[in-house]
Amino acid sequence: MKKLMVVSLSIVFVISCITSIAFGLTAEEILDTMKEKQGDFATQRMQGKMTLTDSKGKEETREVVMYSKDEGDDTTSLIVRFLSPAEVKNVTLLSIKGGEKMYLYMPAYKKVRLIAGSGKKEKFAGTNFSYEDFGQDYGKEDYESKLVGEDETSYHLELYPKEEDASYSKLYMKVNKEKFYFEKIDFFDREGNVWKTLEVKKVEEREDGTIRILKMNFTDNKEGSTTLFTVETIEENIPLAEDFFTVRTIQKPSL
Amino acid sequence: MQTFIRWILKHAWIVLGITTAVSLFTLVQLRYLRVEDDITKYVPQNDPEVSFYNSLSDTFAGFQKKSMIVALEFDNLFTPENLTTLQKVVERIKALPVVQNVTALTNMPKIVTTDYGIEVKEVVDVLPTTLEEAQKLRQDLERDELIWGKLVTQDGKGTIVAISFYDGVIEAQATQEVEKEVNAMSLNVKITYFGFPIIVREISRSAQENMAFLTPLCVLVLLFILYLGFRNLQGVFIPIIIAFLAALWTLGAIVTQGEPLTSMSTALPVMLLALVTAYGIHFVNRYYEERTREEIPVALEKTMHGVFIPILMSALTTIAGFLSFLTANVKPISDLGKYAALGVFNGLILTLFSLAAFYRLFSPSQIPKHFDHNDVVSKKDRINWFLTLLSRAVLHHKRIVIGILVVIVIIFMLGIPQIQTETTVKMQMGENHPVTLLLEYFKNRFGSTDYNYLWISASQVREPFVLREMIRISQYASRYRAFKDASSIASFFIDLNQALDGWKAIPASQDKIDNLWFFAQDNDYIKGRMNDDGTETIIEFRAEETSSAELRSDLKALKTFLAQRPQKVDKVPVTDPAGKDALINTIIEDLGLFGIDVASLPSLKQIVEEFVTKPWEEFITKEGDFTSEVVRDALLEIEDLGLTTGEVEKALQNALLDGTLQEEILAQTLELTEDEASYLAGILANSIERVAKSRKVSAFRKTIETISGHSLGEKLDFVFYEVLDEEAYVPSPNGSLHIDYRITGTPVINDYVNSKLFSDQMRSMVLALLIVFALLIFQFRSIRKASAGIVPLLLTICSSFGIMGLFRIPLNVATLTIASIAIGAGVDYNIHFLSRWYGELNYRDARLAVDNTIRNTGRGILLNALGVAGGFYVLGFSRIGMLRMFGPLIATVLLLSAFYTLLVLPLILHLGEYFKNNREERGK
Repeated sequence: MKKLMVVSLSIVFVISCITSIAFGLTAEEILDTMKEKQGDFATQRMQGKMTLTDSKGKEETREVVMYSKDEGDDTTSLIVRFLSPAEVKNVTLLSIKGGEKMYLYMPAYKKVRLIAGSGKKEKFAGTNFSYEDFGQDYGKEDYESKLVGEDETSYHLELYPKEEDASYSKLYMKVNKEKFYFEKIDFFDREGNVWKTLEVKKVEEREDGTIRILKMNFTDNKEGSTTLFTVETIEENIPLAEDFFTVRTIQKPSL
Repeated sequence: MQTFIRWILKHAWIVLGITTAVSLFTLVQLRYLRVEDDITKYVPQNDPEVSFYNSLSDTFAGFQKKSMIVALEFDNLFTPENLTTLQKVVERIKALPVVQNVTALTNMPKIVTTDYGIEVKEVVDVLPTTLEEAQKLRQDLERDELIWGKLVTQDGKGTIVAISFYDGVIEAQATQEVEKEVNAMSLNVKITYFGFPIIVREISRSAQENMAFLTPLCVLVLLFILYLGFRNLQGVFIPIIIAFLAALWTLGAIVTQGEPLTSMSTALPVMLLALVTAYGIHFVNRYYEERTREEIPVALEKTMHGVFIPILMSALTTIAGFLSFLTANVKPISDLGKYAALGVFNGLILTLFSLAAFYRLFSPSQIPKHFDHNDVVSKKDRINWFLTLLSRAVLHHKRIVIGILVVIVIIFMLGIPQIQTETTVKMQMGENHPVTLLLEYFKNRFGSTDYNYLWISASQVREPFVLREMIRISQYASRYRAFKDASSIASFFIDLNQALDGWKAIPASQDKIDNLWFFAQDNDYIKGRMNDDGTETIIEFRAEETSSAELRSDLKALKTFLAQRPQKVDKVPVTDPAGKDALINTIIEDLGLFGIDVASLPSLKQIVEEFVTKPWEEFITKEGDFTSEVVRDALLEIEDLGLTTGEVEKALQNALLDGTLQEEILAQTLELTEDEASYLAGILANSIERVAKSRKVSAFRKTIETISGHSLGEKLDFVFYEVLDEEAYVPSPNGSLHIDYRITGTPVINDYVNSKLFSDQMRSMVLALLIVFALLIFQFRSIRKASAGIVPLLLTICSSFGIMGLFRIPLNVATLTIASIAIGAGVDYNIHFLSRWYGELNYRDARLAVDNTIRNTGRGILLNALGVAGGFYVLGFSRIGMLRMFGPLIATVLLLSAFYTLLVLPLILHLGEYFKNNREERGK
C-alpha cells in the first residue's frame, strides 16, 4: 500500500514536472515567482531621486525618501517624504495597506489631510504616479492575471484589476524570464488605450538571487511626460516602530 | 501705338487662340478652387499686439486650447434618463483618442472638505435614479453660480460638454470626429456644435454658396443693363464675356498659386464682372459710334486709337485703387486688393487684345440705330434725353446746378461725424447668418464664448502679493461687461485654501502657497495657466458682447485701475509702523473694492488698526464652543491616538490655563505616555492657533457687518483674512517683488485691429488718391487738368463717408475699402470725360465741346456706371452681412461718382475755358 502511494505520488510529481515543462508557468506562478524574487523583507527604506520631464522637455528633480512595510496579503504600507526642493520639503504622503487610506501632510498648514474619493486617482506631486500607484505590487490579491504569450526573454501577462472603479482597465506586463522582474508594464485606460508605461531601466541581482529595481521610468503617453525614479540607497528589514505608519509619524520634522 | 494696334488687328487669330487656350486652362483649374475663411488668420500676425496675443497660446496650455463645445437641449435635463444620456455622450467623447479632457455636468470636479480632509468629488457624484433625486440635484445646482446659466441653461433644459484636444491633433479633424461620434448615437435631442473649425467651415460654406448664387445673378443684371444700352446681342454679350473671362483667369491664377478664397474675395467674380464690363462697354460704344461714320477696318482702328489710352488709364487707376489695399495688414482686404487688381489687369488685356481681335474677325454688319445722335430715333432714347438734359443744365443753369451740388455736399458732410466703427460678428456676417445664429445661441443660453485676458508677469506668480493682486483686479474688473467672471490660479488657490483652512482667502504665508501649489500642481487648469518658470500667468475674463465704444470704455477703466496698482513692493513686518500703516490702508482699500462704502464709516481706520494690532492669542478662551471647535479640528489625530473627542475636550478645558496648554495636565487627564502627550499637545496647540485666528477674523467680520449695517458675503473672506497678516507689502521704487500687466483677448484684439485698420485704410485712401493724381498728370501732362479730374473724386469720397454716417452703415472690413475703390473706379469716368473734352476742344468751342462730350462719352460713362452699380447692387442679395452692406453702398457711391463727373467736371472745365477765354480777350 505504502509502495503504491509512493508510486502514485511519483507519477503525480512526474506529470506535474512534464506539464510544467510542456506548458510553462501559469500567470499566477509567474507573479508568485516575481514576488519571491523581490525578496522577503518586512520593512524597507529607500532614498532616491525623481526626475520629472514634461512634454516640452523641462526637467525638475526631487529628492525623496520612502519607507515601506509588508502588511501581508500582498499589501504594503508606505510613507513618501520629499526632501527637496525647498518648496516641497517635508510634504509627506502616507498610504496604508496599499492605498486603503491615504493621508497627506502639508507642513505649512501643520495639518494632515485625508485624500479621499477621486483624489486618489490624481497625480502625485507632479510625478506620473497617481496616489494609488504608490504601494502597488501587482499581486494576485488585486489582479486577475492571464499569460498571453512569451518570447525568448520574457513572459507576457495581462492583469485585470479586481476593483471595479480602478483607474486602469488592464495592465500588460512583460516579465524577465531569467530574473523574474517586470521589464515593462503598459497601463490601459478604460477605453483600451495605452495610458502609461512603466519601464525598468536598471536592476541589481543580489547574492541570494533576489532582485532590486534601481531605476525605472514612468511615462504618461497621453501627456508625453516622464518620471524617472533612481534609487540611491536601499535598506531592508530596518527596525520601525509598530505605529510608524500613522498620521503621527508623518507630522514629525524628521522620520 | 499705331504699330501695336496694327499688330493686334493683323494677328487676330493668334490673339484669339491664346485667349481660348488660357481660358480653357483656367476653367480646368477651377475644380481645385476652394473657399477657406479662417477668421483667426484675419489679423496681421506680425503686429506686436497680435503676436503677443498669439504667443500666449505657446506659453499657457490653458490659453486658446484646441477645444470645442457640444450643447445638448433636452425637454428637461433633470430626469434620470436624460442625465444618463448626457453621461453616455461624455463617455463616448472621452473614449476618442484625440480627446484629452471632457468637462460636463456629470464629471465636473469639486473640492469639498470633510471633517477628516479634502475630497475631490464630481459635482454629480452618483447619477440620480429617481425624478425626485434629479430635481434635488437641480435645486443644488441652481445655487452654484459657476454652473447655473453657464454649464446648464437657466431653464434647466440645456447643458454643454466642453472638450479639449491633445496638442498634436488637427483641430478640424478632431472636431469632425466628435461630431461623427455624437451623431452616431442618434439622440432624440437638439445637438449644437461650437468651435473654431466649425465657424471657419460655416463661413467658408456660406461664402461658396454666396459666390455660386451671386455670379449668375450679376450676369443677368448686367445683360439687362447692356441690353438697355446697346439693344444688340453682340453689344450685350461681348462685354460680359470679356468680364467673365477676366474673372475666370483671376480665379485660375488664385488656384494656380494654391491660395483659397476668403469671404471677401468670393465677391471677386461679381466685382470683376461689374468693373471689367465697363471696358467692353467703352470699346463697343466707341466702335458703334465710329461705325456711324466709317467702314469696319477704319472704324476699328479709330476705336482702338480712341479708347486705348482711356481704357489703359482707367484700368491703371482702378488697379492703383485696389493695390492701395496692400497697405492694410488684414489678409481678406490685401487679398481682395491683390486679386481684384490682377482681375482688372486681365480685363485690360482681354479688352485691348482679345476684344479688338474678335471685332476684327467677327465684326457686326449693322449698328444700333440710336448711336446716330442726329437720327430721329435717337431722340426717343432715354439715355440721350437724360444726357441732353444734363448738358443743358450745365450750359444754361449753372447757378442752380452749383446750388444743388452744394446742398448735396453739405448734407453728406453732416453725416461724416456720425460714422461708427462696428465689428461684431452679427454686424459682419448678418443677423441670420448661421455663424451669427450659432454665436447668439451660445450667448443666450450659456453666456458668451469670447474671452479677454490679463497677462501678468511677476518675479514669481506664486507670491501671495501677486495672487492677492490678481483677486483685487478680478474683483474690480467684474463691474465691467467686457471683464466678467474672472478665473485664474488665484481663484483656484482661494478654493483650495478654503478646503484646507476654512477661509476663502489667499494666505500671506509663502510656505502655505507652496503647499497649495504642491497639492494643485498637477491640475490641468493650474498647469495651463502658468509658464514653465512660474513668472507669468493669466486671468481669464468672460467678455459679454459690447459695442466697440463700451469695450473701449471698459478697457480704459481697467487700464487706469492697473496703472494705480503698486508695481514694485517690499515686505515690511507689521510691527514696523510703515508696515502697520500699509496693512491698514490695504484692508480699507480692499473693503472699498469689495463693495463697502468706506467713506461712510468714519471710525473704520481705528477699528482696522485695533484688529491688526490685536494678537490672535487674545481670542483663545476656555468656553465650550471654542474647545469643541479645537477638538473637531484635531479629530483625525485624536482618533488616530485611539481617543474620543469628548474626553479630549474635557482634558483640554482643564489643560488650557491663561491661553497656554499644559502638557502635563493633558497627560494626567488622558493617561497618556510622555510621547503621546507631547504629540497631542502639539496637535492641539496647532488647532488652538487655527481656531483662535479664525475667531479673530470672524470678530473683525462681525464688527464691519455691524458698523456697515450689512451682512457681508463669503467673498469678503479675502479682505477679513488679511487681518492675520504679519507682514505688509509697501510700494517701493526698488521693491524686490514686481508685477506687470498687459490686457489682451479676442474682443480686445479685434477692436485694436479694427482701429488700426481704420488708420491703415485712411492711409491707403490717401495713397490711392496720390497715385491716381500722378497718373492723371502723366496722361494729361498738366497739373491743372489732373486737378480738375480729382475734384469729382473728392466729392465722391466725401459722399461715401456721408452716406455711411447718415444711413448708419458702420465701418467694417468691407465698407472701409469703399473710398479706395471709389477712387480707383470713379476716376475712370473723369479720364474718359477729360480725354473726350480735350479732343473736342481741338475742333469745337467750349459749349459744343461740353455738349458733345456729355452726350457721347456721357453715354459710355452712364452705361458704365449703371453696369458697375448694377453688378455691385447684386451683392445686396449676399448671404454675408458685410457684403450685403458693401455692395449697394459702393454701387450708390459709383453712381454718385458718375453723376459728379457729368455735372461737376463739365462745370469746372467750361468755367475754366470761359475764364481762360476772358483772360485772353483782356490780354488782347
